[in-house]
Amino acid sequence: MEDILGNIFLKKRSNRTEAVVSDGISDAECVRRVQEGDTEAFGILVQRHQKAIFNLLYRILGDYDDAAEVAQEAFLSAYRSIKSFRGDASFATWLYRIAVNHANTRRKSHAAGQERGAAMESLAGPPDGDSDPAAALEQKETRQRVQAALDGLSTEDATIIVLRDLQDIPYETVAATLGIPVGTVKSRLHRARRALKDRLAPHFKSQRIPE
Amino acid sequence: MKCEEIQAQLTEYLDRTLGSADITIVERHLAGCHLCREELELLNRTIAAIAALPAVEPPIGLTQRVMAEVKAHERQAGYWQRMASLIRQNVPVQATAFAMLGVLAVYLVISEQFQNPFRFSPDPGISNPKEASTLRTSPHSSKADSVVPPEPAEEPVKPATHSQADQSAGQESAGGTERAVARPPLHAARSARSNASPAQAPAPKRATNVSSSPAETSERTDTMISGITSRNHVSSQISGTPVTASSRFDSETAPSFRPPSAAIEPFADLELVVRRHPRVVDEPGDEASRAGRRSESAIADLRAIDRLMAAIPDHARPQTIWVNIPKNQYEVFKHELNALGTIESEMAVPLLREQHAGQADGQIRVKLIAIPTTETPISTAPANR
Repeated sequence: MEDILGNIFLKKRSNRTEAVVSDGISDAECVRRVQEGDTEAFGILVQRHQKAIFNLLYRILGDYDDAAEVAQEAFLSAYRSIKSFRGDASFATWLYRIAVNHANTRRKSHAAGQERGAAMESLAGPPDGDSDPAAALEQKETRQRVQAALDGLSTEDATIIVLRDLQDIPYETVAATLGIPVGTVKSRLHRARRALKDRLAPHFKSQRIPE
Repeated sequence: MKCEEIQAQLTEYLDRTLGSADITIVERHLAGCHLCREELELLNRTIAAIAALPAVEPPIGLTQRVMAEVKAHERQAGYWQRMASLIRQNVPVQATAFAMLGVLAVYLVISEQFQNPFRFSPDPGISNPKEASTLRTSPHSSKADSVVPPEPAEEPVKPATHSQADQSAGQESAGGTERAVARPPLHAARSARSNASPAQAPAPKRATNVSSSPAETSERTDTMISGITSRNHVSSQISGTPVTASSRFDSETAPSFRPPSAAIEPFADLELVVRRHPRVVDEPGDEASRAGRRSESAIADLRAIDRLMAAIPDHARPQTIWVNIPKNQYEVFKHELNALGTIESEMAVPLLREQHAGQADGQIRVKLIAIPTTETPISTAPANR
């Protein structure tokens, strides 16, 4: 995956050094190039933000394939409307907003249609640490429960928790992403955390409290 | 402070966004409240559990798939965007507007013509509607009255001279069994029709069988021509088909057979160019036999093919008429036409939208261009005798 960005620019520059230099192009510069018709510049933006966008969507949607599909839709939507992007917020914030909107739409369609499958936590990578198999198993179980709890939240609550607690995005940016005041972000985050805590409390209480 | 108020501030307390005064209040309460401490602990573990969720690698090739879709989108939108951009950059707004107006005008003209291909702009030679109505044939009139030649007062073309009329009338063959090699003048034909009794009216329109008999052929030809529209005079028709008001044609001044005032002409499925046979001239001194034949011709109805040709003013210039013919009678029609002239050209006229110009099912509309002979008039009297 790391080579994709380089490959895009190797088409033009034909050397790795240039690819490294190209990595230093700011989002704003990439956006400007795309707006001027340089389609390849959008590849830089996709490569740069795909992991964050995909993880955001994966945690909100709880399904790997859904997340991949919606990420693709979100990037395409961003490309289609990038001409109207004026830079009032950062490109990342603007892209997050598009992705969140697509995630909301997908969640609504799931709610109206079939039930979603179980979260594919097994695809989330190996458990942290490799010394204690019991701890690793417990960690994996916790992740599955957290994801299941997130899936049980409303889209609004799940989104704000993922943005703030998983991606560690500041209140102001969350507010800009969701288009709500900061005060609303705080109250909504508090409500979402308590709802998630209520879902996870039985699991936590059954576990030994870590030292 | 109540536990509920303290717990409402725990989120900001954990995020360290509370003010120092509020932090002191919360911590003082937590020190003495076991329930709030437990709540804080659970919230803390919840946040930690969320934060501990590992990052997931996006699927391999996500960027390539996105870019493939982006390029597909570009290909779709590219053409029109390039066109719009070219127009914006290179063509002045006024020129674009002018071109679009031109396209719109052409479209309106074509669409109007397709909606009613036989409706024309008013004849510039007929400014008075009453005058035009007198020149048109009533759909209820008999077939014998249906061909209305132009009135001499309305006809800009010079009418045939009396001597020409006499010569033509004198050459008409009796009984119609022979091919007519000469035509009666228009006023003679009208006089004959006005004097004809109902019993002498032409046969019914419907023709069923095709025969090689000249008499039958004549009758079929009579019935198969359902509409005649001439460019050179106010149009007339035979069987009640829509009347076309074509443009007046001044043969004295027009440089060609196509009148400049007629911007639109009727559609035709086929276009025939017929060069007339040389005019037949009577031998002098045969007044008695000519008078006898004239009386017979006044009684006998003219064949439609004769009336067709009679509808064409005797010009020294090419004349154009439109006729409706049943498809299955077209060859017979051409056969009849050969007696009057040489078909020099037969061409199918391509129409837009594959429409047929015929007004009724099973009919074709023929544009007949009669061009004069280049030879000098000859006498065929010895050959007829």
